[in-house]
Amino acid sequence: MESLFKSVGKGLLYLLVLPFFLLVISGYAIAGLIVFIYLFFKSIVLFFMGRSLDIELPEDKKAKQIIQKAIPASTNPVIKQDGAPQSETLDNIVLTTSKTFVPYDEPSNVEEACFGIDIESEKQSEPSKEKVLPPVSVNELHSINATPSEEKKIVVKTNDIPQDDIPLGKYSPKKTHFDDLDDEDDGKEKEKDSGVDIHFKDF
Amino acid sequence: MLPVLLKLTESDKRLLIAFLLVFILIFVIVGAIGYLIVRVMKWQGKRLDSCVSDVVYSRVITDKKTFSKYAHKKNWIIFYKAARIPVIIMLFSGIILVIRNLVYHDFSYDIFNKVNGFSTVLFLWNFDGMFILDPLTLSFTFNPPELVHSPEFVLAAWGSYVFVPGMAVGGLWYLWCAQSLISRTLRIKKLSESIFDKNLDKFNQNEQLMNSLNAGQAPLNSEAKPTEENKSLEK
Repeated sequence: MESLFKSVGKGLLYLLVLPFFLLVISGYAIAGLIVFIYLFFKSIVLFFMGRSLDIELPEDKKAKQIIQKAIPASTNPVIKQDGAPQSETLDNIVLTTSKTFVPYDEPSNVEEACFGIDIESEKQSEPSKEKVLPPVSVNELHSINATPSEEKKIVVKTNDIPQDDIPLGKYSPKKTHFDDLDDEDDGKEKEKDSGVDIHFKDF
Repeated sequence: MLPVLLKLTESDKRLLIAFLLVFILIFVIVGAIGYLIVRVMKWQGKRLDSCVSDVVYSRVITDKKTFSKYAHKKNWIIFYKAARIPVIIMLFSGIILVIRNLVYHDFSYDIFNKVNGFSTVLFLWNFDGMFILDPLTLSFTFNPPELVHSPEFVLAAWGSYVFVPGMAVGGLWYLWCAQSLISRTLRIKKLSESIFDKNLDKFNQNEQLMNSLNAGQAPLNSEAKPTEENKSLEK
């Protein structure tokens, strides 16, 4: 009953306020029309000056610069995902498997940072980018880390890494897990000549 | 008045109660609509936050006046960008009507007439004499409205068929934009007061001073009894 009275009271109040609200909204509508016409002509002038009426004001640009400067300096993992301190020697280490080679580089653009490095396009653009490093076992790795002054390129033996450690790569609908399974027969396929090949694995 | 009420028949009393219930229902519906408008305006106002948050977080703007000026400038640009489509719709509708008038050489054209106006596609009723209330006998009669016109498509009214819906859609859309403008303006006012607020409600300078003086010590007016450990230290 109390809520009903409240609703009725609110209804009465809104009915009383309604004319003032309509007055305010019509006033804003007229003012908006005037400003609209002004901004329309301003945008035309700006268009012929080679600019556009942008929502980004100088203050926004300044704020953007400050934020962009602040992100690399931050150690907050939420702000900077790779904010953890890295040793100099580990920069040269690349963990690889026999199947794919995914070197870690700083992302060059936002798309790369979000979705990872496109391996296929990287290979196409820079086919000879692979680093050839002398083999070092995992046990030797710690001893070398203790002497960072040595300019020694390190690589972890691929054979020492369990094959279950599948490196993270960019998802591609063309390359599925099913394709990975079929890669076991790569050697056999290479022997065959090119052409239509229908292969019934289980038969 | 009371004798008149006492003289009311049972059916008249029922009618009065029904009227009262209808009024209450109208007020409740209006209250619900008003509540909905308030909620929508709050939602519209919140959309400003994403536009002005960067300059506040990065402390590019540090005072109320600059923030208000910056936010209002941005508010008008947002309105301009939002109101372009409804204004174009309304302009297009207006141009269509002008072209129609130029084609027919008829500048005294009533767009809502029943012959070649928008009313040709509407149901029209005659509401005269619908409610008849006799104050002397308190007798009430209800007559159903008479249907005057049924919808029919008239080719000559094509101008009004484009103009009226176009203006209605564009006008309502534009009013929505104006309401957003008001909501954002209210939000700017609220934010400019809250962001740079220097509130001293919970601040007590004496308390702060005493805390700094007695750091690590028991308060001067403490009634806590000395423990055995403290006693040994005192000796």
